[in-house]
Amino acid sequence: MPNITAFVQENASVVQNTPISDGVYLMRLAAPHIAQNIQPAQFVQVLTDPGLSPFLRRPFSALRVQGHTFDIIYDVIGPGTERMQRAQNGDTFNVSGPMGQPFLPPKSKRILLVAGGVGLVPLAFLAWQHPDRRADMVYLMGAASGSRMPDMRALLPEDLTRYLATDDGSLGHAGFVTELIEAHILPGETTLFTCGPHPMMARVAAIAAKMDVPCFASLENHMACGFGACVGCVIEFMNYETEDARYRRACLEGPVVDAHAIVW
Amino acid sequence: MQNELDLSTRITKNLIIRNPVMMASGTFGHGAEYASLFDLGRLGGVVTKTITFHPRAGNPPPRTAETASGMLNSIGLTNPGIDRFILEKVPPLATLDTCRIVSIAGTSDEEFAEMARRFNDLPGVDALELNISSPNMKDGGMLFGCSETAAHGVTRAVKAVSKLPIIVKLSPNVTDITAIARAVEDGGADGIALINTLLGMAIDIRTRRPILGNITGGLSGPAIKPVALALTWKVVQAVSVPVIGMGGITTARDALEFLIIGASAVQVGTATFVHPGAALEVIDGISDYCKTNGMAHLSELIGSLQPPR
Repeated sequence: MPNITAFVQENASVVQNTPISDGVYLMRLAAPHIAQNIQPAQFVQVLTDPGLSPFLRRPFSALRVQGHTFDIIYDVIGPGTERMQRAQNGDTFNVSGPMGQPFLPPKSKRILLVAGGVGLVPLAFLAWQHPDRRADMVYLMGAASGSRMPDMRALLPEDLTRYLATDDGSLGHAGFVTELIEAHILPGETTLFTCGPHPMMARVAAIAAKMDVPCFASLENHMACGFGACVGCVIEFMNYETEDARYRRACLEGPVVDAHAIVW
Repeated sequence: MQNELDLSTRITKNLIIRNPVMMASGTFGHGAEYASLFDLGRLGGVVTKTITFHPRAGNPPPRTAETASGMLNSIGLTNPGIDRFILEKVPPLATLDTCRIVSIAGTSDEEFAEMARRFNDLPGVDALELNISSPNMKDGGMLFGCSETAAHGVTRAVKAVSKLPIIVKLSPNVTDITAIARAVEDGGADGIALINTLLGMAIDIRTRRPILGNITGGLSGPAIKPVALALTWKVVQAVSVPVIGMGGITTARDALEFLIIGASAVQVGTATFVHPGAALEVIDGISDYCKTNGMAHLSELIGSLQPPR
């Protein structure tokens, strides 16, 4: 049973808030309890404005933990992230977390990480958190274009094997990142992890199903509370014993799910 | 020695709770799962997520949309059904040291009554709240709450079989809420709660599709508080049973407004999503206000509305 209430609220102070690519920022927050406990694909809920506008918190997963700080990456897409963009070092945000089920490193010989856009975050954290498994990991990263691709040297461990792809061919492989997957699968010995835009993850899941390898996805559904109370952020599952288990909460039963178990 | 402030309040003819702040249905699970979030014994009460006779999957996602100072939801009463609720959720609910109210919704008078009957002599449930006001239930919900005859009939049907105090939760999506309130009082309701969410909608202009999978949903949060307050004020004057006010209550100041106009208690709902401990801050703020104003008992505050200048 997921532990609903392991999260805490901390007033996290901004230590760094810098652009890493076109419209994408990295924010380093000092919050000792969260930094100590957060796992790959778990997320925090950031109150972007204490004045209730925007009303709801914004969920972000962690990229990396260093001491009492953790890093998040955000795309500036609306009023919440616009407020975050304006934050100066020393400003504070009320942050609750960590929430959700983490990515757990598998026993398989090859760990294939497939990321799109800011979906790079939980997969990079998996690599940072498990240096002993890093030699088994291959990181595939896609973006629309080179200008939307952050400098991955600053975001990934140096010794992590990585391949880049851009839709417009301005950097790395020309085409979708999903086109790189099959060549890196060792049949019977690979587990896929993915996070990114929904169509990309659906494609990853389909390839994994075709190649008959396990696949875990970290979903980015719209959320209100983040701790299971509102039942808003649900994912549809293919098999369920009772009607009320058809939809399950991304915040509590997820965000990591077996990609072969859900309706894409 | 200064006397302790007494915040206890009567929410039905026969039910007194220790303070006037409760967790609203659909915003706090079935209560017990949040027992380690804070001391639930500090609350006036907890209302469970609505239970239906059969298990329900709920509506297709997306189920929430943020709005100006609030949110829309179209959850659709996801729940395990009454049999599993009684088996799995009532025992932990029963352990809570607070008033425990189960919210129920049926698709007919008979189904409402049968559900109510099953809570007779079930330890751990102190009252029932009839949800006749969900905008997300096509086969019931608001259908009962929008007609005086239907609202009266379902209340009577439940009262005829239930041994528990019955609170009826009203919908704001009606022409004259006082007529519905009088109808449920006449049907035997022991208390009235209002408001459920306001029917709302949002469109993604990029795709020109509704944001909610169910097209429409219920609006909640601070945006609806003035509407909720006015409707609660109207109902308080129309009936003699206790009234529980809710709708956008986020701070103690919000709750105080409802108590001043005559609500006997309040429920905190959507605010919990943003501030999990919001209800506790509301309790502390009410307590501070009463002390500052030299009150010894909450009853001095309830209905203390002064005429306009």
